[in-house]
Amino acid sequence: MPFILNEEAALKTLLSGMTVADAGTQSRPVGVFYGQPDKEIRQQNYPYITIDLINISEATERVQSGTVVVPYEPEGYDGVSSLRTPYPMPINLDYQVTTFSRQPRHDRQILAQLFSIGRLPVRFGSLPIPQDNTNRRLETLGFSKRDTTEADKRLFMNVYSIRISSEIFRTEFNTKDYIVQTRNIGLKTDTGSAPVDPNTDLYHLLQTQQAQLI
Amino acid sequence: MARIHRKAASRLHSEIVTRAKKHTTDMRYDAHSSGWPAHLVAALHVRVTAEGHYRVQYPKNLEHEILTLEYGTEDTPPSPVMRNYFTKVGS
Repeated sequence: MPFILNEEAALKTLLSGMTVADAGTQSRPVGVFYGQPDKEIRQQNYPYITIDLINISEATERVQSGTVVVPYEPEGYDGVSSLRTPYPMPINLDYQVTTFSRQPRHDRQILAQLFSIGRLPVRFGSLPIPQDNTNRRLETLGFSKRDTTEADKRLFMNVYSIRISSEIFRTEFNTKDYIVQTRNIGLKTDTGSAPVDPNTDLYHLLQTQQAQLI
Repeated sequence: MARIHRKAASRLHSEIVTRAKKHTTDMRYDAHSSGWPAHLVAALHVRVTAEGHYRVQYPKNLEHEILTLEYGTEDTPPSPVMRNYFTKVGS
């Protein structure tokens, strides 16, 4: 089941729509690309932003056990299956958002827009995902200024490390509901199958069965 | 009393050094796994500051190479060893 496509699309939408102004152009759009765009594309499109997935880790502080009726329709849901499922595994998706521009004025305008509420603020960040109608946590983990010179031209670079919360489901949502099942382990004895003592735990039952197989 | 304090301080210092060594080894392992060149892997050291924070130290002349790998460039994707390591340790 995919779990990452909606988040990436939402992040791209969140960063899209920015413009910068300078003496030549009043409204120059800031392109947003996944990963490293082709050289031809980016040379025509300064300034621009890239999104790189840099880490996926378990969010141990959000782990729960048991079952839950998921209050939203997760990615990959077929629309008819039951939404009752074991608690999903919480994960963190870490992204690097990098901005590139040739002019300091563009750089500052991008900075101002990115740090504003609704994009990548240092606090109170959130990522609306319209596909499943959820709002995910969006935390700014760090920021680094990486201005450099490339072929005798100034290149203004800013690096944001951000974290988006997500979940991986353990089921494929292909069962209508959970059926209560009874376990019936028949132990072979000399006189046939013996009734299972309800007080015997599963570990001992399996050990006994294993011994019989040998 | 002073002797006890000295002993405790010495024990704490030794613990900090041991931990820093372990973090250095683990981070170098991550850097190696991520495909960083051997000379940069060997240059990474984790130190513990007086305030108790972890810091990565490397020679000044290798800073550009290391940060270029860590954050990427226009042509190369980032290979964030240091950031991911501290995320892992912190969680």
